[in-house]
Amino acid sequence: MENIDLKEIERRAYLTYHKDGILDIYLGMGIMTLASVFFFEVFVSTGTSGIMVLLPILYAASKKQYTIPRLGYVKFSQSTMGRARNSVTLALILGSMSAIAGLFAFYSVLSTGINWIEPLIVNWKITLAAILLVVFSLFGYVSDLRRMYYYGMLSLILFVSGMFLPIPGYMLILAVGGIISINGITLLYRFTKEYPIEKGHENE
Amino acid sequence: MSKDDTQKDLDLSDIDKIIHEPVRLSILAHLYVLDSADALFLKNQIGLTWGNFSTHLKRLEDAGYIQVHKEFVDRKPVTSYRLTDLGREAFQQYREQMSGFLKELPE
Repeated sequence: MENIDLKEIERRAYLTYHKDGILDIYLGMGIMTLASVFFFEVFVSTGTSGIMVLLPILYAASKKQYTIPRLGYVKFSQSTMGRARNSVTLALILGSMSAIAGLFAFYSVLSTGINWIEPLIVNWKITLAAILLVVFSLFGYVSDLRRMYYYGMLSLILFVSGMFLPIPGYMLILAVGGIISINGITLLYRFTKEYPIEKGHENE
Repeated sequence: MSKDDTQKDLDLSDIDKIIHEPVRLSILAHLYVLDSADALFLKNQIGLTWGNFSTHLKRLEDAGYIQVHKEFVDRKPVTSYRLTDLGREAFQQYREQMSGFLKELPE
């Protein structure tokens, strides 16, 4: 039938699955963990790495706890799964590249004094805001989750505002992560109201 | 297009009556794009109450268009539905038939 939009049906199913805000909660927690790195001024600590490893496990457990009993069980097609995998891979690659580039730039300035990198480090708030905007926008584009664009804009606004306010850098990162997590909790609350557990019909 | 072809496109007498029902059509459309899903997910996506939802699933199952897949996910039994090859073929044929029919209608 001409008016059956199969792509839209698949898209809607995928978006409903991520309507629960669980991704946002753990994404925000991940960003807040990164803020602790700045706060404690250590790049790698056992606690931070431990939390970062734990987050995907907690994400999967939360999906099983909250999403599946309410929304139902679904297996997406290979193409949709591929897109989800690409989103995660992209986020990991971009995040790692940004961290490596940041460290490289930092040590380059220390050892060689390369001039063009210096403004990027001096104005690190704008640099970080730009990186976050690009990372969130790309993540939003690949995952099709529109709210990621808003998170990118939020990061940009907070970091640019931070240039004019006497707020420590880690507090800005903490604020970005905190707002994302709070939004996730709000989405989860709405999700549980919209999809209450139907007794006797779980995984029917 | 010849007059005979047009007449053929406008003839819906051989349309698949099992698919030609909104709930069943929607179930098949969802299973066409998803690998598998349980009744709860399908019901939520289609936006229906339980009502006779399981009757529609049974009807599609009896026609051989969908198959029941039972598995254990984290030690919990999950009953999901999957489109069969026959169901996929029938759905494609239905789309073509309806598409041809709607195309031939005057504006």
